[in-house]
Amino acid sequence: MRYGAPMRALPTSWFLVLATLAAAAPVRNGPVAAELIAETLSIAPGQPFTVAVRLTLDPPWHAYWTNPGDSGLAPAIEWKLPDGFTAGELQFPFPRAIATPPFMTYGLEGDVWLLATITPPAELHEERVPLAATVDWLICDEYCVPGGAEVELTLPVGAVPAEPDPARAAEFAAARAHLPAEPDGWTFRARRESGRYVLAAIPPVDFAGEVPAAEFFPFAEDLIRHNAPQAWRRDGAAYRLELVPADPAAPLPAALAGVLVGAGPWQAGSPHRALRVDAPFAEVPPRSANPERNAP
Amino acid sequence: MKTKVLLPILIAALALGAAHAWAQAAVGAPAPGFTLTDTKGAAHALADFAGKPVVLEWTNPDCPFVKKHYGAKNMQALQAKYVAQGVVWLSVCSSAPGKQGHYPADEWNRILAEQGSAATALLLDPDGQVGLAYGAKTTPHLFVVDAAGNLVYDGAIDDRPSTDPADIPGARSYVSEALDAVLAGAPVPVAQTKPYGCSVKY
Repeated sequence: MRYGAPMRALPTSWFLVLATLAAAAPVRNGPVAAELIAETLSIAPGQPFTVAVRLTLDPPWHAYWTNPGDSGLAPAIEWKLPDGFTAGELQFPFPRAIATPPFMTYGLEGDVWLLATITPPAELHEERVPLAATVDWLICDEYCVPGGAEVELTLPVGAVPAEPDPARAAEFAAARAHLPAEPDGWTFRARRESGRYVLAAIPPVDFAGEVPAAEFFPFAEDLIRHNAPQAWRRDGAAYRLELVPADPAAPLPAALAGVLVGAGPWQAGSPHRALRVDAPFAEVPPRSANPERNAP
Repeated sequence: MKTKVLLPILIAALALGAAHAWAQAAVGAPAPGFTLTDTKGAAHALADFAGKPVVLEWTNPDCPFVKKHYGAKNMQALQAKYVAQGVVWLSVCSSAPGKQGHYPADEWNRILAEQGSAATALLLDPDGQVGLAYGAKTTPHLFVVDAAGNLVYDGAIDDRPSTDPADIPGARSYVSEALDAVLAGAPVPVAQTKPYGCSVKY
C-alpha cells in the first residue's frame, strides 16, 4: 500500500499540525544549539529532499570547516535513518579565515547550516518517518570544547512532489547561497611560479564587475601554508591569487581544489560569494631567462 | 577580547615575516637544538641525549584532545613502553603566561602525578621559542628525534583526529610506528602527518 494517494486528499490543516510536530525544538549543549530542519513539509517515496543540521553558536565560539586549517576539527554526523533511507555528504558553507597567530584556522560562526540530501526508498509504508542523527563538534575560542547532540525530526509521508515548507524557504535559500557555487563562466588555472602556486581566475567575457579581494580555502589540509598571506590582484583581463605551498619541496599536486570566496559578486545579481575551484596544474614549460613579466 | 589579540597578531606576523622563528625543524634534517627547564628545575639540552632516541610531545592538560589520550592512559602507556626501551620522552608545554595550560612548576608536578605521566620530564617553554622552532601546531603534536639527532617524525599521535577515547584502540599509532622503526634501525614508515588537536597556546 502506498500512502501517497490518500495523503493528497487530506486537508491542508492536517499538514500544519504535522509541520509543528516536525519542527523539533533545538537541543542546547553549552554554547551550541543543534537542530534538524527539513526543507519540505512532507516527504515522498523515492524523492530526495534536503535537511539542514543547524548549529547556532554563541559568540565568540567557532566550529570548523571540512579543512579546519592548522588545528581544529569539522563537525561530524552519524545518521540514524529508517531502513532504505540514505543520506548524502554534509554540505558545508564557505568558512571564514580566523587568524590566531602563528596559526590560521578555517571556522564557522554564528548560524551554521549544514545541508544534506536524504533519499527515501522507492516504497514507503509508514505514515510518518523519524529521522535522527548524532552530531559531534569541536568549538574553540581561546580554548576548545568538544560537544554533541542528538537531533531528530519526524516527517509525514505525503504528496508527490513533496511540498516545500514556505516558512523555511528564505532560510534554505540563504543556506544555499553560502554553499560554494559551480563556477558558471569563470575559468580557473593553476601553475607554479617561483616557488608559489598561482591560481588564475579568468572571468566570463561579459563580466563587468570587480572582485576587489578573494581568499582561497583548499579542500586538502596539506596543500598550502594556511597562515601565509594570499595576494589577489588583477592580471590583465584576469585575476591571480598567489599561494604559498605547504611544502615547497613536495611534488606538484594534481590541482588547486577548494573554495574561492570573493569580496564582490562573481556574477551580477548572484547571491553566491563562493565558487568551487578545481584548477588542474598546467604543464610547466621550461623556463627561459625571463622569470617574471614585470613589463607593463 | 578581540582588540587584545591585535597586537600579538602583528608581532607574530613580523616574526613569521622574519622566517627564521617558525619551524626550522624539517624531517630528515638535524633537530633544532634547545635548552629548557623542567618542572623540577633541572635544565635539559637536546644535545644531552645524543645517542638516544628522543620524543617531544607538545601538551596542554586542559585541551580535550590531550585529555582523550591521558584520560584513556594511552599517552602514559606509550611513555612507559618506550622509556623502558631507552627512549627519552620529553613532554613540552608552550602555553604562554595567561593562556590555557600555563601552570607554575609546582602545579605542573601535581598535574603530572595525577596523570600518572611516565615521561622523562616535562619541559616548560612559556615564551614558545622551542615550539615555534619545531613548528609545534597542536596539542598533542609529536616529534621523534633519532639517536643521531635527526628529526625522523613530525605529526599526529595517530590517525584518528577526534576527542573520543573510543577511537584509540582501532587507531594507527604513528608515533609507535616511528619509535619501533627507530629502535629497530629501520626507516620510519610515515615520517610526516598532519597533527590534530587544540592549537598550541603561544
